[in-house]
Amino acid sequence: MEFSDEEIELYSRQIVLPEIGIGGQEELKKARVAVIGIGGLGCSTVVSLAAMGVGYIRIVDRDVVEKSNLHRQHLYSYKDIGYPKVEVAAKRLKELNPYIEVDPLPIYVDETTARDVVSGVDMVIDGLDNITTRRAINRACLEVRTPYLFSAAIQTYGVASLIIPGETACLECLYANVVDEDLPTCSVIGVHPAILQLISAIQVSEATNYLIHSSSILQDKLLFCDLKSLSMEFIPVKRVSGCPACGEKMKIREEAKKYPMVEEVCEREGVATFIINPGKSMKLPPEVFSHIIREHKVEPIILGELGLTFRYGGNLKISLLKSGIAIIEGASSREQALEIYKNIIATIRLDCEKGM
Amino acid sequence: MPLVKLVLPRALAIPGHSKEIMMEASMLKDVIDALISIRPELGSKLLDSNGRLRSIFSVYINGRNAELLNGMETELRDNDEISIIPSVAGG
Ligand SMILES: [Zn+2]
Repeated sequence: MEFSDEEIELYSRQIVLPEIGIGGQEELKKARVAVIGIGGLGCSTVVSLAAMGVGYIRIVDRDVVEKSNLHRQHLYSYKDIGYPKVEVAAKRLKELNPYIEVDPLPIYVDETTARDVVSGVDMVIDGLDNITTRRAINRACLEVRTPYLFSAAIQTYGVASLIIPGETACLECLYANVVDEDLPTCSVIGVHPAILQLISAIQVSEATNYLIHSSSILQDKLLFCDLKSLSMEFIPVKRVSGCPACGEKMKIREEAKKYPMVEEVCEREGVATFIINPGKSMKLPPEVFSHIIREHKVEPIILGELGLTFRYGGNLKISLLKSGIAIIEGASSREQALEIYKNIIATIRLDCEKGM
Repeated sequence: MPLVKLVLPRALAIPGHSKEIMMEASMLKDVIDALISIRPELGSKLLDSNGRLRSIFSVYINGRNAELLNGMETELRDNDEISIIPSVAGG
């Protein structure tokens, strides 16, 4: 693999590190990673991986930028509020490093889509904010046999462990019965931006080590870090034969799901907020957003390439992403959110068929 | 009774005790009960109303998640190491 003089200069300060060198830089350029979720953890991690020259970075996120993100998600600024996170992130990362490929996917990750988002990469890096989605990613990574760098943080503490399918403990070995309903969320108990930076720094260091040397300190270990005591502790962890995901008696918990599905998320600016999961990612045509504005006489707030945020029916704010995901702020119930979504999608489909 | 070691992260460590506490215990329940007797405020966090482990903490016996073994009834042997850490899902 050849580097231009420009690239050599760009990476010169890390090439001199014995841990990287020119050989390591080549490995990074060849590497393909997927960062799932570009919120508190994912933002810092993708910036470093892009700047360090990881050749292909897939960024996956289902959300738009909101005000309460800005204190910790430093890829985004005030002017980005309402834009799909992947769109803003992809633009910034390409400006930061024109020598890499960035692939933005505004996808709702669940059991239906997880396999697609983890396929074709050397490593999957965790930027998620809940266990349900992580389970889907863990199982998909086991299936396609791709290493998964599990990480999470809240308040002032965080955890990380590198999962190698078939070798180390998987996420469900570690978190057998953990359910999101039991755990506090950052909108309730908060998260210190510094713990996200710290866990993200560990992700970058271990991910690049693994991509270059195929080894990581975080294999078979769960790292627990806490800012309050500035402590880092390792719990040795082992695969368990009774694990429902990687054990002998694998339980496939596949309930037939009915899409589109509605998820109620934390309130945004004091307003009930719902995210609509379309199931399989749609590919709405490029002209769909201007069409909605024109034909349905909505008031656009943000018109991006991958998403449109607009006012609807007085007090609702809706973001529609190219993949068919919608974020609806201000609906009175899940049912109402779903009904609004179906109305919008139905008219788009109808109009698409008529050739717009 | 087997002599086992309870290992707590600094965040959960008991004032006046080290992070590692040696104790006699024949099953996991004995260890959890002993911990709750020293730190009563952990009781409602560690156990639900039926006395089962809540998932807000994860408990490992020699690195294996206790929920995938026999939960609170998992039998312990000499030198077993029990680690308890908060489960984390944010990001
Ligand atoms: Zn497992």
